[in-house]
Amino acid sequence: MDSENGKCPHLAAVLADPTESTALLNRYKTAVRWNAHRSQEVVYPAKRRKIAPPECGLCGIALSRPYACLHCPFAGCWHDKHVKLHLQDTGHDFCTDVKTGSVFCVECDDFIYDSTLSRIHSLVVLAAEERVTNFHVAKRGREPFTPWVPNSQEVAALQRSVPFPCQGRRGLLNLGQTCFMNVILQSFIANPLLRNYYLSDKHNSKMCKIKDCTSCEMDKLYSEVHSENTAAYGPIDLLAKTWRVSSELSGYAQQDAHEFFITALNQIHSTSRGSTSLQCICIIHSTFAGLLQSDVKCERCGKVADKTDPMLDISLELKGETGNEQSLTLASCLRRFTHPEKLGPNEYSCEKCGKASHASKRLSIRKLPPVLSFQFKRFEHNSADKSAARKIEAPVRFPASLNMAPYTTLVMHKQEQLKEGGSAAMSLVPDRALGPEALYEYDLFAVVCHEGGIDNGHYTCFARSQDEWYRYDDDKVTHSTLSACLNSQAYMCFYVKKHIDYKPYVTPSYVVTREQEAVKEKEREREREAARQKEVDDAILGVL
Amino acid sequence: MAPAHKDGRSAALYPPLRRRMIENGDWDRICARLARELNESGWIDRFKDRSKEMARAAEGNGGLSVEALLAELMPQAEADIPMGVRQEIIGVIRKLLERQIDFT
Repeated sequence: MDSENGKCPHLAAVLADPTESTALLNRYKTAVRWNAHRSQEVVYPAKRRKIAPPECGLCGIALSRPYACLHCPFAGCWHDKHVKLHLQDTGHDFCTDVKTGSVFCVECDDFIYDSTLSRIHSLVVLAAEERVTNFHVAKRGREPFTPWVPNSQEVAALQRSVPFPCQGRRGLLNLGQTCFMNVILQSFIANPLLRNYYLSDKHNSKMCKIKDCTSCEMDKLYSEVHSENTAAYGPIDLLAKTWRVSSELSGYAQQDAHEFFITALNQIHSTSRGSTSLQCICIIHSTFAGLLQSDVKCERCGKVADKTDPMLDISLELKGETGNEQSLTLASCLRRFTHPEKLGPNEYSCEKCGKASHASKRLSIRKLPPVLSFQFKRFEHNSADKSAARKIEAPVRFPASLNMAPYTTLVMHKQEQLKEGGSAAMSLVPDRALGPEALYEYDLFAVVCHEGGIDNGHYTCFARSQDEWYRYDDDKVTHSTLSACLNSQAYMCFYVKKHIDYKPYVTPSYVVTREQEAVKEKEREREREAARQKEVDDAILGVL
Repeated sequence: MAPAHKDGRSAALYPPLRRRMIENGDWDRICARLARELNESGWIDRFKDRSKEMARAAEGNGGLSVEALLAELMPQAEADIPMGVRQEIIGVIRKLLERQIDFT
């Protein structure tokens, strides 16, 4: 690339000219939109419908992954360099890979990055996905995304404020075998939903009146991590509060990071706004809570009884994996998790046929949370014999990108239906009504690792800041790579949804509360005024 | 390994077969399945990391062109496809083609 700041000067020149800019961006939008629609069509084929593919302008071959010129209607092959030849021959500068929206500049001889193009790509793809998403409960379409445009008050507020980066990376001091706590706190810091909540001042620790408030400690933690101080931070108050609230975690012995994770989630939940015992909408439940469904099928009469339970994370068994322990993957663990399990002869009595019968139980995920946390059960505790506890060292391979469709209730049920009907699902999401696939996609953002034995081990973690991976070893923070992270021995993995889903046309609860408060305040003011008037009237009557 | 469709008898069959597979959506579905298998085996992440770190390492001395990156990594990428995945996908393609081509 020519220019110093990494931007393509040829694109800058085009974008600076209104006519050229409009023409280029329109071609870009068309190419991206074409691909978005086509990929929907392809996944769910209508039997008689054929979609004529574009042909390479040079060799005539049908294109499966067209590269479209952004100056003229030409489309061509990448691998045989046909599109590049076209650009060189015609003097056109740019072409795009319709599948990814990546743009290639023949002058720079490189793929280029531009925020305008990225944004257009995201908006066009999202709009195409919105149109094909069906809600099952409220029979209405998805609310179309509209970018936020600040009103005049907001513009003024933005101009008055001091911007600072919302990328914080800070080591955490080990306060005496507290690496188990530090790794979980780093996973919270790297969690975009939690981070945004606290950075947008949703729980102000300076104004909170709750005693022993863990949510306040989180607020302070985010402030510290995003401050200008880069020296390691010691979360002393948070540790002290945790000891006060959960005696099992107190003391200087090594604790289990997963136990701390669940305890911390419950503590933050109980001290956060919106916290209720059923269908809680506090920040913790909004972020981590999903629903697990268990279907129990009576082998005798075929009746299936289902029940759902809330879950904050998924714990996956490692022990007793038949076959090669070297080939453990997150996907194989999830397949095992959702595989039908035979219940013993007297473990279940069917409602319909009334007999104690053979039954099989199957787990699936009814509702996917925005942040999906996995724990690999490496530590086997034997409550009778403490010395018999052991750690399963076998590494588990996990991906940077995960699609959870095959493990969800609706997809699994549909696949069963298709199998019984004799057809096989050709796509990952077997029915258009259950799509698009993007709804099931997640990106890895943090990994907690454990080295050593059960009682004398050490926790470290990897966490991602945008596209870069960092390794956190208590107070030591080092720049790392995706590969180092994926080759580590994971104990817990954290994934965040690529696209957050929203209920359509809903006013946020805090806005509703604010409006209700305003109405109540007006009512109170009216009552005060009436009372004052009454006093005056009484005083006058008293005089007469 | 040169692409099979470039030589002899296959050269004439390849373009219409390819067109039909793309029209039916079979091409994209098989690609998607291949991508899933490669993701589960760690192949996608491995090459994402390799290409990124190669580009990063070359930043000091003038950078790395797309061509150079592809020239270096494509052979490794092809060789690294797990045998099981390769055979499975070839099997799927073969079954599809058997239904469509008259081999007499």
